[in-house]
Amino acid sequence: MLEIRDLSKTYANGVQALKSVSLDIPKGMFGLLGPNGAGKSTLMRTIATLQDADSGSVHLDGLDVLVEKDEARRRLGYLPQEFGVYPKVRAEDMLDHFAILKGVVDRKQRKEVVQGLLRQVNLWDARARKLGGFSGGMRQRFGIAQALIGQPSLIIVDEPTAGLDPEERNRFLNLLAEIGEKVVVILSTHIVEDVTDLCPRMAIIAGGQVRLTGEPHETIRSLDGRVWRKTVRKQELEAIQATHVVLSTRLVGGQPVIHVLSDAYPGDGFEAVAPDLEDVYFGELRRQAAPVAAAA
Amino acid sequence: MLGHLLRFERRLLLGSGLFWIVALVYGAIGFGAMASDNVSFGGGVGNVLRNAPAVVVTLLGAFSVISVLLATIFVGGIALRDFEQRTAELFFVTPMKKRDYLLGRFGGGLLAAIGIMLMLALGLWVGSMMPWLDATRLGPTPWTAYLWSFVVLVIPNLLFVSALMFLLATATRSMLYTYLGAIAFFVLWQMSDFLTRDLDSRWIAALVDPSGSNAIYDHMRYWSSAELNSRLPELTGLLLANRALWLGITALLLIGAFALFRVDREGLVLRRRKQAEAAAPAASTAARVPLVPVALRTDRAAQWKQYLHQAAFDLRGAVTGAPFIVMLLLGLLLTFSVLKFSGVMYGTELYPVTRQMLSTLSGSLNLFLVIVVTFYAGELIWRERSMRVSEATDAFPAPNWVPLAGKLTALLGLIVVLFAAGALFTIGYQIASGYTTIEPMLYVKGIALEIVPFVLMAVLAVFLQVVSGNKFVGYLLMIVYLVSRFAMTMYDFDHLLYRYGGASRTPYSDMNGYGHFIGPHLWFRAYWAAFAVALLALAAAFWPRGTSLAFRDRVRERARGCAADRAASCWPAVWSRSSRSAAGSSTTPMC
Ligand SMILES: Nc1ncnc2c1ncn2[C@@H]1O[C@H](COP(=O)(O)OP(=O)(O)OP(=O)(O)O)[C@@H](O)[C@H]1O
Ligand SMILES: [Mg+2]
Repeated sequence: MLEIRDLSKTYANGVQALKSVSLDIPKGMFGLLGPNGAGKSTLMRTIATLQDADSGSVHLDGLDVLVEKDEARRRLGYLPQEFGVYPKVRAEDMLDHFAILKGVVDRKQRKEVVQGLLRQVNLWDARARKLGGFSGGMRQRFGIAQALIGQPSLIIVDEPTAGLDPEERNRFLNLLAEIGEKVVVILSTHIVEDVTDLCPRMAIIAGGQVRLTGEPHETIRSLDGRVWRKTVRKQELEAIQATHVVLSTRLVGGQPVIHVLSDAYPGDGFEAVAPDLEDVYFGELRRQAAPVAAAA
Repeated sequence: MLGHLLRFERRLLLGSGLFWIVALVYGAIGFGAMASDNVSFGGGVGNVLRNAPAVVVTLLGAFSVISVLLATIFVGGIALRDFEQRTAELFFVTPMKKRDYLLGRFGGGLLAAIGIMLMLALGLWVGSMMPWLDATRLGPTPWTAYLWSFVVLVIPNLLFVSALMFLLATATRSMLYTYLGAIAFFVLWQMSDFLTRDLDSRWIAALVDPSGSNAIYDHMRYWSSAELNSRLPELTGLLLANRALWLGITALLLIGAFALFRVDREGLVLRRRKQAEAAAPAASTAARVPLVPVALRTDRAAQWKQYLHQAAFDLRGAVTGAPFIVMLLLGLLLTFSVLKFSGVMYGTELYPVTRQMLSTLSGSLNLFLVIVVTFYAGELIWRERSMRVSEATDAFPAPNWVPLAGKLTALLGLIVVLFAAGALFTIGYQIASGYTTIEPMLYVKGIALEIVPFVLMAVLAVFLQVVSGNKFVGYLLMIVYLVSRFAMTMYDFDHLLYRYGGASRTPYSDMNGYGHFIGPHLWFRAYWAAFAVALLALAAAFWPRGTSLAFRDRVRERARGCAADRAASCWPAVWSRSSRSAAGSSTTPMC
């Protein structure tokens, strides 16, 4: 159980990236959604002991993460959003290096760990290649392997599926879900379905504030009967946007298809649709900075 | 298009530190060759003027030897740059012609090399102006000789070695192989020179020498002093044949580079390389391996292993990198030149005794050690950050002292490698000159003594890097330190107790070794070593970890754990002891 209380952070350039963020994150996968610049990475870096918050606290099963950093680091697995590698080092050697720094000092054990992880992320065949020759997705998978060294009890992965092909994405998410049964996994992503499919709990962050936290299916249910769809002409769009809460506009076969949020039937040509998490997400973003709605 | 590419290269070069450092070194070599009384050259004895046309020609011809390195650094570097910095794909998708691209890159490297040889010529000229030179042995500046040497020797020679390096670089696309190729060429060249020297048929020696020096020598061998002072060799006979031969070979090399150049990603793939590795298995077939349970350790023994590993990892990365290899080669080259040209002292040949080798070695390596220590302190300390690995590694449980000590140890490893390579080189030189009393123990002792000041300097460089929180500010502080140290000497602030790393001299004599000089020397070293430990403790306390380098955050971080204070307190203790020792010893400044 990870408890985040009143975490605030203002960067030196004046950007307030976190505004009194409080979250309770139980064991299992926890999805973080939010637009670019929302503060997801800032929150994750803070939990990963990489930067100090101005105020607030983070506790992992009673351990004060922001103070007892060394202890926290032993339990932590972290994949940063931007992850570089040494181009001239072989994948195997680099992972071995990481494993030592992580504390797996026994040679035989380390070999097993490195082998196991490389197989898990499907890089076994590329183990002897230099990292500089890795594709973007392979590098990402290498980063994932690195985050899983030594069975962390708190896993923080910042957009881990960016750049993965569909097959690798599935493989990774399955792996994560399996691990996630026993430990806290915080996952940020821009792929909303990943959260719907995998995460028992999630939060939406925007502008440094938690807008919504709850179970994806519960929050979706709260929109039941309130989301409407219509195929419109391009010229009509602006007029509708002025009068309705338009959640999303998507082109289907070149024609704009809009989703609108409305408690009552919005009239002419709209049809009711089953809401999904994307509607929830857009619905939260369309609301003006409102108090946190705990839907579950 | 070509013009644009060349201007682009010029801008990059003039903005690059490497270019100016190398230019400075070459200028200094030229200056030293002309202005130093210890060096006497190509018949620069008796009636031949120090700056006679023949001397200028001989010198510039001989320096073609060190232009191999220029071509390697600049031509090789530029040819590989787009592949190393991953800009190649950006260039190759533009409609630029392959010819323009290659000529632009080759021309850029060549111009850099020519620019640096001009610096060397400038050094020669400035050297001949020095007031301490015997005015009666200086003639008017032989401008035509400079011009002639550039047209007939320097530029064709640079063209040849540049073409060779360009071919190597485009064919292998590897900095390391290009360097190895350069070394191999250099060795072959010196060997062929050596082997053909005693042949009766001098024309073979004159032709196979790519620098043309042998051919020139052949032209001038029977000249009188008056002729040496006034004439230039004619471009006929063997010299003409030699130049034509090597220019022809140059053309072939360039054609080869052009033909072998590939714009695709992998470059030239050798047949023997394994064909296509087995395609990655589909997801369903990949083994699902259960993750092995492990215990993460953070105890002392584990930290010690982490430290050793970090040091080895960083050392391996640095030693195989191009800048270090360049510095090593430059250092050896300078050692070689000094050995070769100063083997004669006051007209008497010296035995290559170990004592002499050691002093030549430390004198020649000095500059490169300073450069290596300064440069790699920054490179190593910020290695994780510049490669964007630090966000991952900083979240690992290894304590701060592990990377700090590991990187410092790697830096010391570089110093040791430089000295060890230098010692092997001078031992080789001793054996090659038929001198077999090697005195290995003296090598060990001498090098151990020579290494200490650089170890102290390395600690300071690391400290400045850590505290400044920025690689370039760290470099700048280090330069300020070096300059102010020099300035202090100028103004006679030379007491060893306030000159960081200073110690009294240890003159060595074959009769009684280091004698009584060694005691005070070691006390000074201990004194500064204690100071260095204090610096290290501070560096450990302010070790940058996490995303913020702001000093404020690091001070706050430091307030959490204070292990470093104890270490910082040992300097005053040694201070009192050394100052007593200093009172009794000479205060001659050193290093
Ligand atoms: N080191 C920094 N210095 C100053 N401002 C920063 C820094 N890092 C992030 N910010 C600012 O803080 C805000 C939150 O950034 P953050 O990286 O946490 O967003 P994010 O939710 O991860 O976005 P994305 O989806 O694009 O990754 C942004 O406005 C960003 O500009
Ligand atoms: Mg982010």
